[in-house]
This record gives sequence, structure tokens and C-alpha cells, in this order.
Amino acid sequence: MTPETPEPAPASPRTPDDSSETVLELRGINKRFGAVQALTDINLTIGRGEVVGLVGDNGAGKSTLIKVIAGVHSADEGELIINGTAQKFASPKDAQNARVATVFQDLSLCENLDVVANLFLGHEKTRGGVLDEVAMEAKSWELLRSLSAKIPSVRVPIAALSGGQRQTVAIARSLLGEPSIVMLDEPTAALGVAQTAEVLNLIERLKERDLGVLLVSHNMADVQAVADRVHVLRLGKDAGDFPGDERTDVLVAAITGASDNVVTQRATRRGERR
Amino acid sequence: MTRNSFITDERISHEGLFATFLRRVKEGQLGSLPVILALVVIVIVFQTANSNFLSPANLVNLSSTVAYIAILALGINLILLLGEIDLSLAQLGGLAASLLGVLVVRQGVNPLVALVIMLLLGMVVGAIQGWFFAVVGIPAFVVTLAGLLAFTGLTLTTLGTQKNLSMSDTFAFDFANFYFPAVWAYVFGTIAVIGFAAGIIYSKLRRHGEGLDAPSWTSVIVRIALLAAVVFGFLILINQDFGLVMPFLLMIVIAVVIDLVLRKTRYGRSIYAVGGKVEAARRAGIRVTWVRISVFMAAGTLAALFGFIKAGVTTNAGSTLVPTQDLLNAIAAAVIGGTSLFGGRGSAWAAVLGALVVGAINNGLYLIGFNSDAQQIITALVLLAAVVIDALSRRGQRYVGRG
Repeated sequence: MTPETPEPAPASPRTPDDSSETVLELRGINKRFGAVQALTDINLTIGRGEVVGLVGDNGAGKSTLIKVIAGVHSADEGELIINGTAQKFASPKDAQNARVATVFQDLSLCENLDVVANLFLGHEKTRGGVLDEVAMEAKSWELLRSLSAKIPSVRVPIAALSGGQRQTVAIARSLLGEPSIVMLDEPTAALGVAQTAEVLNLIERLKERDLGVLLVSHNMADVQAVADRVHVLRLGKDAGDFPGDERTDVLVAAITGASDNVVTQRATRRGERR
Repeated sequence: MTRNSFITDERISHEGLFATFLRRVKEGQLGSLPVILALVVIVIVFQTANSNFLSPANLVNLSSTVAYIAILALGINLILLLGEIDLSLAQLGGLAASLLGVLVVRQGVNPLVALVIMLLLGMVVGAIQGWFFAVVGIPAFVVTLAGLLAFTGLTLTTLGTQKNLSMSDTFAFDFANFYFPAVWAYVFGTIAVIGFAAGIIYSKLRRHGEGLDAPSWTSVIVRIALLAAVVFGFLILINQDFGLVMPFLLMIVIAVVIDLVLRKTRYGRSIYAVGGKVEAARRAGIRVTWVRISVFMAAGTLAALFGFIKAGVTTNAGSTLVPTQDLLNAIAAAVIGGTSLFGGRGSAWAAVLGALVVGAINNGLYLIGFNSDAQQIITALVLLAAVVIDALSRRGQRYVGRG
């Protein structure tokens, strides 16, 4: 265990090694599971302060791709360039050390512990071998305040928070590792309208901090609301890179691979009925 | 200006003290308060029914009984924090006590060596059971049920043909019946109060320095004064009789150590995390398997210590040392004290306060002439009430802050 906990990123962390404007670049990523070619020649770039939406149907390879970037799987072929340096991740720990943070869909928070304990879980600050609750609590307030997060108290257990507040804590926690890229896997799934808006605001905060954000979502409206670009995957292949405000039918066509697809047919039917 | 005033949420209503209190009752965020209130009620009821209840002689007697219930409960408490159960701990204590008795009384082994052997037995057995649970993946309930049966048999094997074994005139008896001179008792009491006061004042000053919410001086002084009143009131009473008995002091020391480990170290935090959500703990880099095995080892060691103290107090290391209700009393103590059966919530003091409740009920019912059948039924009802409160407060907690 490292004795010192990394400080959360200030507004724009600029260290010599990340002078480049591209925080993440994938070149020709291939990944095979037995007979299944999960990813074929994926190319993707994310710039500093850029939010890229990653969309695709079930089985399109979204999860596999973020797992490759997060170090859970390693790519069979292709280059993974983080902050201008080619990387080979053997474990999620390597990815974290390369300042790649991932917030997974099934929140990895302990409901019985309070916000401070969850933010620092596994990286607690200590003072002479004893937990330094005061320093951790002060840091927690500072971090949450910088994200304009609405958390009633950092000393309530996570069980007492709403889904949006939990997602906020999970995202805030990933920032303690001072990442340059944050990957969010379905951050708005199962959230209400107001809570979704809170999380989208939070994503804009990340962008303001000059972080690269990869947002995986099924919800087209959420992606269009915050993404600068939308990257579409279909059957493990790149199916296009679109501007963030691209029309929904164009995105759906790219996702399904045909302009005459079940979604457009449905839309047409409903149009005729009216 | 405190830091949290920067973050406001219009949904958080500002309420009075009484409303806050009621809400916290419903959400189960009161910590030790309910069990302390229950204890006060129990003391008042029994003192009214029989004025001998708070007599110095009875309190001295009660303090020995509470000590061994609490030491076992502290072990079970750790397992409950993991969200698991250990059914074998009381029998493990019985086995360790029999081993100690056979080694010391029949084989003439040096008492300290025998004590170390029995504590090691507890730790090793804990490690084996923990391994079956954490590595092999068998539910702790099943592993320790097997242990319960095995240790009962092993106790009889250890004792051989003679199932009775008296521990009178052994060092276990001397240890469990050692009474500190009055002055020493007051010195220990003063150390406890000063230690508590120093901790709470230091924490307040540091929090204030960092601009965090800090408790007011009034609440700090009230808490110190309350602790001092209870500690010295108790010491003054028992010093009119034999005084402070060694097992009770040992129980307090163990509880303080466990409490500090749980609240102040990364290891303690990892126990709560594993008890709360295993997957989250694993992702945070906590070595879940090691945490589980080490907790079973600590509980096994405490179980052996329970056997040692109980053998000394009751001067018995035979097959009748540990009846079945010992385990249930210890589980009841931990749960009554406020440790959740669902894992991840509770404290070391829960076990001690719960043991005081269980010990006081048994002792008080005995004083007013109930037999042990009635004692068991009433302890069972109190346990049931505690579990219901546990379940309800868990449910209540889910509705807090939901927007």
C-alpha cells in the first residue's frame, strides 16, 4: 500500500508528461475471446477536456472496449496511447497508475460506510498509523464542493443517499486518483430525471477540469446532451464518429447498421397512424 | 464558516432537536443510546423489585459474569461485523479450557505455557474455520456448525474417562478471582476518564482547526462528566465489597483495543467494508480473504480467553463448563448492543453493553426468584426485540435523503 494518498486534481493538472492535447488514443485495437472477435480495428481518440459518448447496441463491444482501456482485459493487437505514452496494462492497477479512472455501472460503494469512508476506501489517509478522519473529511468537502455536489452530509452512510448522490460519490471517488481520463459506464441508468441532470452537470464539471471523459450510455438523449463527439460501435467495429449534436436517426442508423431498421420502421408506423 | 455550509440542498429541512432525535430513532442512527436507555430501565426495574440488585456484593458478582459473556460476545461481534456467524465459539472456549485444565492439573505443565497453548489453539482453530469459509467458500454457518459438534466431542476426548475437572487452587482461579486494591481501581478509572477526555478534546480542537463541524464544549464536557460519573459511581460501590475484579478490567482493556482497531485503523475500516459489500471492498484493493481469516482467528483467540476466564470464575474445566445458552447469550449481547446481524454495522462497545444487559437480566431475575427457564425465555424475548429493531432501522435508513 502506498503511504501517501494522491491528491485530487485541481482545476487543470498539467504535469510535463501530458503536454499533448490528446489524452487517449486507440489505434487498431483487436480483442478475441475464443471464436468471438469482440473488437476489430478500433480507433478512437479523446482530447483534453473532451466528452466522447460511446454508444452501440448490446454486444457491440462497448463493455469490452472500456475493459481494455481500464486494464481488465488486455488487447490482442493494437496500440493504447495514454497522454502520449504507449501503454500495456496487465491489471486495473496499471491503468489507475496511468491515470485512467473507471466508474462501473454496478456502483462499487459500501452502503454501510459514510461518504468519507467510501471516498477513501483502500487509500485511507493515516497519521502515525491511525486513520486521519479530520484530513479525509476536509478533503471530502473540498472535492465535493469543487464538483458543486449536493450531498447533505459527508457523515451519512451511503444507504441514506439517492441514486444520483451515490453516482456523484462514485465519480468523486475516481477523481481522488488524479486521473486524466474518466470512463463512466451507464452513469444515468436507473436514475430519475432530476438525478440524471445532476450527473450530467457533474460530467460538465469534469470537462471543465480538462479531463477526457468517455461516457458509455444507452440513453441517446443523455449522450447528445453532454458529448462533444459520439463514437458508435457495431458488432465490434467502428461504425462512425459523429458530432455531439448529431440527429438521433443518424445515430440509430449507425448503431443498427441500416437506415431501414426496426427503429425507423417503428417511427414511420407511428407517423402513419397519426 | 464551516465547510459544509458551502453545500446546501433545499431538500434538507432544518428541524428542532426533538424532531432530529425522533428521526434518528427511526433511521437507527443512535449508536449506543437505545441500549444504554434499556440498561437504565432494567436497573431501575430490578432495583425497585429487589433492593439487593445494586448492592456492592451483587455488583461484584455481576461484574465477573458479565466479563466472560462480554469477552465471548466481543469475538462473535467481530464475526457479525463481517456479516457472518460463528456457532462454534462457545464450544471452542470449552475445549480450550479443558485442554488447559488437563495440561495444568493432570500433566503439571507450567501454567503460562498452558495458557499460551490454549490461546494458540483458539487462533489456529479460527484460522482453519476461516480458511474453509474464505478460501474453500463453504458458508460460515455450516463450517462452524461442524466445528460446534467436533469441539463437543474433542472436549470429551481431551478429558478422558474423568469428565469432571476442578480448577480451584489453580492460577486460572487466582487470576479470575484477583481483586485490585481500591486505590488501583481508582487509578484505572482515572486513566480511563483522562484517556477518553484527551481523545475527545484533541479531536474537537483538530476539527475546529480544519473548519469542520465540531461538537460544542457543552456536549464535550457533558460526555466526559457522564463517563466519569458512571465509572467512579461503579468503582465506589464495588470498592465497598471486594472491589474491581481482574476479568472485568481485562474485558474493558480488550474492548478498548478492539474499539480503537475498528475505528482508527485501515484494518478496522476494511472489516466494515467487507461486511458492507464484498465486491466494493475487493475493488478498493482490500485483501478480502485475509480480512476474513484474520477475523476468525481473532474471534477464536477471544473464545479461548473466554474459556480461561469462565473456568476460573466457575472453578470448572469439565464437560459441563459451556452450556448451549452461552453462545446464544453472547450473540444476543452483540445484537442487543446494536451490532447488525446483516453485517457492517456495530461497534466493540455493543458487545460490552449488550453483555451488561444480558448479565443484568439473568442476575436480576435470579434475585427476584425466577428460575433459569424464565431467564432464558426473557433473554430470548429481549434478543428478538433487538433483532426487530435492527431490521426496522435498516429499512428506515433506506428512506433517508431520497430525493
